[in-house]
Amino acid sequence: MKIHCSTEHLAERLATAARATSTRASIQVAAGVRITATSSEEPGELAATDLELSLRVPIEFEVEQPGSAVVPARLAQEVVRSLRSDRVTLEADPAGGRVQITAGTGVYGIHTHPVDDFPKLPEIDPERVFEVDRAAFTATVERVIRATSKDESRPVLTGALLQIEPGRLTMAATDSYRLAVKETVLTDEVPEPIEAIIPARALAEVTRLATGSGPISVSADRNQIAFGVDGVWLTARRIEGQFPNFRSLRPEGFEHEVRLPRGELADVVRRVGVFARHNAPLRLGFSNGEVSISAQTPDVGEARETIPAPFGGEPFEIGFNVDFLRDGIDTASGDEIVFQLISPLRPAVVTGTEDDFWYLIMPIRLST
Amino acid sequence: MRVLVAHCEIGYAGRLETRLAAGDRVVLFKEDGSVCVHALTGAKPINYMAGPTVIEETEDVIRVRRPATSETLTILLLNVHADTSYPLTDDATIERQGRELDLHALLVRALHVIEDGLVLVERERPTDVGPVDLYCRDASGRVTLVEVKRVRAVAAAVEQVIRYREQVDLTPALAPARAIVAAPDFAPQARVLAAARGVECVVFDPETLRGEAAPHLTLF
Repeated sequence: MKIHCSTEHLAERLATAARATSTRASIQVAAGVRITATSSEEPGELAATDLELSLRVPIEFEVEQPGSAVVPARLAQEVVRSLRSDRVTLEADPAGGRVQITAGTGVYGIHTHPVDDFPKLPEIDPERVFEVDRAAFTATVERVIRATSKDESRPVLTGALLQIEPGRLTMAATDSYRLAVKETVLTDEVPEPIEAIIPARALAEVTRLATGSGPISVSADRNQIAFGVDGVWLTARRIEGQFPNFRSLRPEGFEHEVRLPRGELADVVRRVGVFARHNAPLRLGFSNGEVSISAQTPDVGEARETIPAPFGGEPFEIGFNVDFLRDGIDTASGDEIVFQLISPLRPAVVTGTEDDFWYLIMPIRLST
Repeated sequence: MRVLVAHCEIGYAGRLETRLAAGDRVVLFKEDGSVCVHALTGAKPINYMAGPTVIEETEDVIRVRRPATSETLTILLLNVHADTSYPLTDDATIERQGRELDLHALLVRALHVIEDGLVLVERERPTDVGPVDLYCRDASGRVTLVEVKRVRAVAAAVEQVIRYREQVDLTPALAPARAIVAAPDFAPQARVLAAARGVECVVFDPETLRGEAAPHLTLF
């Protein structure tokens, strides 16, 4: 393999592909990026995978000699990023095991991984590919992804449930303490409905890739789901298991519905929340015409602020994890936040006023 | 894992020499070479040798040698009741709960378990005679020192909190301080000493406390 290309282009494409590499020592080749060059007429490809997630990134090469090589991602990135020359040449040693990077007067030799050891990447069936609106998709991901769990012992909760059906895209995520659900109207044609639990990391990568305009391509089979953005294909292994029946978790009725100004509430929660440390709850005390927001952490201090609120029922106090509540307030949309409440030990629903998003949050049991 | 149940005599030579006359025993040969001999009663093995070991076996004698220390355990088999090997796997590690610091953290979040109205001022507050586990104020504002024990409290725990109280009482603005020992159980001598020296004993159930202090409710 011998190729020439723009240094800047190679650096940018390498950085994109390298996000799928693995640093686990047990799969050395997964720390590499496979460079494939066929001819100058077709785009080349950079590919990387950590066996859970893979990225195929198209790249423009001038191909002097076709071939492929697997270069260690981090080292190759460091070298290419620091080059000052506009053009760079990569040449694989015909005997294998080495790639030479030449730029200006600089010559850098990199030991490579065997191409044959590089994992086989999932194929994308063009028959199954359809498109969804990029803005709708990324906005949906951004609204729910924070509610995914970091607890690897419950894999199902480390991803978000994606449902795509004609006219509607629904995404739900929960870590068992809160649940975020966003439903979005789709105008794109959907050949067959999809329901899959997608790793949160894969969704985050898709939104990271989707900074431009134009639709996102989607393709799913039994084990994998693939997203195509501007020619880059991200493939992720679907998480197996049964996602909680999220619709049944939402209570059918509520005792109180309180509307609060979103900006002011977010500010107060942020300020007072400074004192809700070490799992101490943020307390919302609803009484006639106001809600008091307070927190106290032993050894640290306490804070309290009051916001006027259209509340007229029996006073009660409810506690929340401050980070979870803040996530709900931040991800709801519109000028107002609507709290739907039942009692201090029953789940509360936080919604905005502008779209079909709801955030179910369990309270913290208050000791006194 | 090999489990040998046998009527046997056991001799040990190493740091000292011992001989165990004939009796029925259970001998465990573990994957790392450790060998444990259990009698019919008692939680601990009556003989053991930590791995790695070298095991030499003839028809009625098993010799377990530990090359690192030149110790030898000799098992003379008189009658074998059972001798079975099992291909076992166990990757789990024990999760310890109930450390004193864990209990402090739990109690801090549920101080009403000790006394209603108690407010924590500082954990591990230093004094000249050592740190007070929980330095609190009670509902009337009086300084209250709490010594937490995760297991049965003995007289030493009461004496400990008395020493803290004496130190705190040296500061007139803080005196007179209250002293509390909080523990799942109290030895009778500890209760007598506490009553005589004005120390309060509070019993709590760590299990209940864990329930009380794990206030995060879940959706499912």
